[in-house]
Amino acid sequence: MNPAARRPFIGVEPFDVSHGAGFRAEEEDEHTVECRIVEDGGRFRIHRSADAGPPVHLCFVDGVRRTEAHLTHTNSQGETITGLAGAWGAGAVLIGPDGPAAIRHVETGRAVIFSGGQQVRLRPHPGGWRWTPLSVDSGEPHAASQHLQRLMRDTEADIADRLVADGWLVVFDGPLHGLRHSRKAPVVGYVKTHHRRTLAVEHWQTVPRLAVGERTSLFAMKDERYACYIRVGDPGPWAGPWAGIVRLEVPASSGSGEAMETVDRAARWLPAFASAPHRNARAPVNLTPVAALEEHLHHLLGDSRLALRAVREAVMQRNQDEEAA
Amino acid sequence: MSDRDGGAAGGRGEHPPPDTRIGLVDGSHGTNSRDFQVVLDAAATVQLDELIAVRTDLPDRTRVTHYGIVTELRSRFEGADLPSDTARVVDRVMPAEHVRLAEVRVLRVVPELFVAPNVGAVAMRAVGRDRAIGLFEDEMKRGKLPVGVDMGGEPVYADMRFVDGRSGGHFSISGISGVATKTSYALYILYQLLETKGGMALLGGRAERENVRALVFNTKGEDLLHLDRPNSEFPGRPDARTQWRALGVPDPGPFRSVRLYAPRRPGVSGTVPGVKSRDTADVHAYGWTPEQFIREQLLQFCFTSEDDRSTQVGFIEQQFRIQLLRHLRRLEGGETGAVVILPTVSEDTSFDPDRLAAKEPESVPAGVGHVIEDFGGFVDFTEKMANRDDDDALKAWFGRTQAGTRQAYLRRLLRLRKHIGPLIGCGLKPVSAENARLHVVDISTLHDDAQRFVVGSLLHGVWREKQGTGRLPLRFVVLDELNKYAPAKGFSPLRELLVDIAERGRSLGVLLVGAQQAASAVAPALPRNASIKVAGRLDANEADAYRFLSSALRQRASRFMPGTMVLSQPIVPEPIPLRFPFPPYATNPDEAEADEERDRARTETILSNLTAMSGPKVGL
Repeated sequence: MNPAARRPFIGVEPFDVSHGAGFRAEEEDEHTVECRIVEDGGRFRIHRSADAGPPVHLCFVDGVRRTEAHLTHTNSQGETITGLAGAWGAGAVLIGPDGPAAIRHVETGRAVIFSGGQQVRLRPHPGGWRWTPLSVDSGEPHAASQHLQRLMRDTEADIADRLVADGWLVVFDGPLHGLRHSRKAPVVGYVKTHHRRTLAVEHWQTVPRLAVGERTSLFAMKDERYACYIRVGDPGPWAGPWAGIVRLEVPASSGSGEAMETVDRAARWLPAFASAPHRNARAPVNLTPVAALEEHLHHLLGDSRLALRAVREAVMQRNQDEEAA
Repeated sequence: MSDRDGGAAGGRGEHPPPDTRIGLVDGSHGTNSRDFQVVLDAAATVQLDELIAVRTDLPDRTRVTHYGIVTELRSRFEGADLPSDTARVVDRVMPAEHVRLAEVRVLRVVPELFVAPNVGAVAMRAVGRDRAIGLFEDEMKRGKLPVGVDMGGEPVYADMRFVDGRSGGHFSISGISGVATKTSYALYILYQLLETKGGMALLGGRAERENVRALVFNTKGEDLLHLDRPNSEFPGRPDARTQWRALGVPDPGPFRSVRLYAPRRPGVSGTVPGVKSRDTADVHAYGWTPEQFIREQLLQFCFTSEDDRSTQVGFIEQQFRIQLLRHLRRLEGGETGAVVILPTVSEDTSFDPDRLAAKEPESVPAGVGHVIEDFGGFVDFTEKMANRDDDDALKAWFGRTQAGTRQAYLRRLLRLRKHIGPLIGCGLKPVSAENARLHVVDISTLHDDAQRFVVGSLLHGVWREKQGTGRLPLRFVVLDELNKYAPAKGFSPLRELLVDIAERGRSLGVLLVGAQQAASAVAPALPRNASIKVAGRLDANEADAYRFLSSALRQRASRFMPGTMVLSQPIVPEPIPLRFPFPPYATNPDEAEADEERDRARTETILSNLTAMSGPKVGL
């Protein structure tokens, strides 16, 4: 526990600067919503769960995406719209009852996305690259990029759905809000960064007292979610009070009983998966299996330079085809 | 699913028999025409030295097969970058792929195209025909000799053309004493050649087969004086029998065609062999009569030790040897080999030693000259000659040398009296090449000087006999501790003889099976001229001398267990590690099976002698 409450001190943010800060929640913020405590009779407490043995049927779901080329489309009237060629991938790391941690359910895709409702079909490249033609109606500058993000999140959600149906406790990297499907426990959203205060100040200041493996009382968030804070790992003596703390989210639809049971299990198991500072730029909160999964997915997307080259060749081919037509 | 495919350029659609597939040629590492890596399938168990075949279809539709040998195996967690990741993977915190890799060295490409195997191609175990082609067995059209079994128990062959002298000859066997099993391996080769149907068939026509001879020097204990007896430990090793069967020997047993020789018992003037672990009736005492000593010019092999090589001693020896031949007469009235050296001979007597030696000496009575009946007599004669005042005689017998040189010569000869003495005497018979294919000569009890004398004299005999008779029938000579007889540096008649045999022996059918602890200690011509190089456990410091082994094999060879060797032969570009089976013949007295019948007969003889000694029973 950090001596946050006792005397003034300075902390170093454990994230590598390229990832931004993990803690960005100023106490006075116009967006602050103080959530209602739904456990312990409305009193904010710290829970230490009993040991439950090694994790079984625990899985981590995550995805990656990459813009591989920014594209433009100029029509015969000389109007130009923007788009992109990009790839996404998602998968899961399964911690089964026995055997090693294994990466499964991996899916990857590659698409050409234009805004303004324009679909552009590129011929498959002989090197094995092929693109699904997609479009978004919006003409916003980031619409195509947001759609790519959407594709990744949808793939993640599909994988998570299947695993939940098979009885796995799914740890979903990121918040649960904005997911396409309505969820039931056991699925846990795993939020590493703290953008705004979610609790009353006196509760909020209690959170850094969490020791590794402990959790706070559940509180209700919007979008039918319950949440709590846990400390997943020790960030080191130089770190700020919120380093090593993550928020777990569970769907409220399955009731607070099941939600408590789910976060208890997660709080017991997740500290074992916290990453080491020398191993991961966002240690300890970026979980080791998730980091390995992301690395694997990036690898599966292929060499980005080759991807760009393939897009260029396919675009040139298309322009030649158009001319010939 | 990944929407990227392509990349794997070969091997698609290949369907090897399911049990031979071991994995795919690694594309992350790439291949070249000399070596490649195989990513092993989860279920494949592959060991070092296994033979691998990979088929590659070239763009012009030629199909080539790469045959290779596994030289190293690796295992790692793919995705684990740091050593500490290992625990994370084992603790199931971090996902990683367990990959196993086999490094393969290319042995052969058929057809002979210098291309790299395709990455992604299916790698399979080379079995059956593939294995035979990989080991060039199809090229061994003039016969193949089983030289051992590979680590999987399958036979490995040597091209007979490089064993029998047609294209090459000589074995060079290296390794640390005691654990490298050099002698055992040499005996295994002799057994295959001389005692098995398959081996005999490789030695030529019937006459050549019958007349093939092998000369083995026993240098340690009386170990090799039991080769004609079954090995009592053999029945307890059923795996050895399996190995022999794989090597084409269904019914291995002791050597059948053997003659044993030992020096006569020291201090005894007769011809009783000095052996302890064998009945003296089984072993022949060997030696040379004074006449043979002089006519076969064996004096040269008395001066082979390190300090004899750089002085005038060799010159005196040559001079003295010729004068002995010129003055040589046989002692009248006896065929024992005693000689008489005349004080003078006519001026026109030849100085050509070979012509003189070829001539049968006349018999003369004892009174006309100096009688020599043994080595002691010969030394006495030399001393008498050296101390003469007659300058002409001194010049004739010792050349224009100083008195000091003559004394040095004499001093050396005196020293040899004790060592070589038992080997020269009337009535002694030399090692004959008759009646048996394998001749084992014990030199273990002799002093170094005498060992060199025996080896030199016998090799000289074999070499002389084979001059001008052609390659067949073959003569094999097994000689351990070659560095003692043909050291890397210096000069001696024996060293020159061995170098000569190494260089010309194969065309004359004299084939050396030489063994040494370290090839660097031997005259370089010997290992260089050996077509077949074999190494057992090597000294890690010495391993640099074995250029025919890859550095990985050299390191491995420093950890070989007894019975594991690595063999290099000219047509197979990589040395092949192999094992040879436990011998069915005794290779030391402890292994020799007790001969109950003979023991019983001996007991009866002793009992009957005792009965005879106690006199006739007298009835009272």
